[in-house]
Amino acid sequence: MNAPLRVLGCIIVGALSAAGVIVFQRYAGEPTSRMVTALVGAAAVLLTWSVTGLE
Amino acid sequence: MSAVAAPLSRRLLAEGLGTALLVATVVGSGIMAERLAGGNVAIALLGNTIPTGAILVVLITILAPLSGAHFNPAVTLVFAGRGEFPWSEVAPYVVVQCLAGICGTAIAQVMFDLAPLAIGTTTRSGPSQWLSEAVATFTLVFAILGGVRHAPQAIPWLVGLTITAAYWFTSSTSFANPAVTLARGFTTTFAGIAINHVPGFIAAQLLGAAAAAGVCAVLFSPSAAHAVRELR
Repeated sequence: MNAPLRVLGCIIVGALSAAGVIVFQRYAGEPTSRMVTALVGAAAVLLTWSVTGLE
Repeated sequence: MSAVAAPLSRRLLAEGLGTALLVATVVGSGIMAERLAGGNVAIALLGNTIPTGAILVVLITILAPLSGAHFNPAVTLVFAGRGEFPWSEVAPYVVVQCLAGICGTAIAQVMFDLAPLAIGTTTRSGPSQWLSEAVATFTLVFAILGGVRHAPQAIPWLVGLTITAAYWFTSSTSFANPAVTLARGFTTTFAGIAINHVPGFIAAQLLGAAAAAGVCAVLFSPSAAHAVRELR
């Protein structure tokens, strides 16, 4: 598998997941937490890296 | 398709569910079609086309009263540009559409015993493909805005039939949807696209959507309708 493309895919999913957390926090009236946002983004990157390696 | 009455959380749930089911149908039917077609790509494409058109009719019919059933960032942006959808809600809609689309790909992949996500490798690039995407998205937005103006009840059918037709008259097989395009970048199956070719498709789709919005603003404007009535 092409490693740079895999990295790109992971970054896309991580960034989208972080954006999703920001949207949730903003519209659910939750206090904004950069830590939670970063953790979710990082988890999404790791998860995507793991599952795209299963092929 | 621009109805926005329910609370935002419910509308986002509807957008997410609709986009995920749409992508699961596109990717899933592509895998099934490819496996059953015995190497005949035309039959595989037909097997991919029919479920996609059909599920669009179903999803738009049942979810449009809740969220507007955009399932498509280009459509969301067009409605916002026309002042029929709040700009403040564009980002949540687009983020949910994109995330849900990727979830839809994962669901389809797992249903067919594949890894949940894979990095797309199918080459879909070049001027002919980009023009195809611009034309496909133009046609889609044109059908939606024309439907909004003249036949709102028919919009689910207009969208389903437009996509069904566009699968076959474009060289790109009509993605016409940035969220679906991104989601299809995470599969190596029949419906997939190389993930580095996704930006070109999305740019072409946004150009096509903007062109359609401009044409429809003239074609379906209240003053144009008034002029037609005068002629009659």
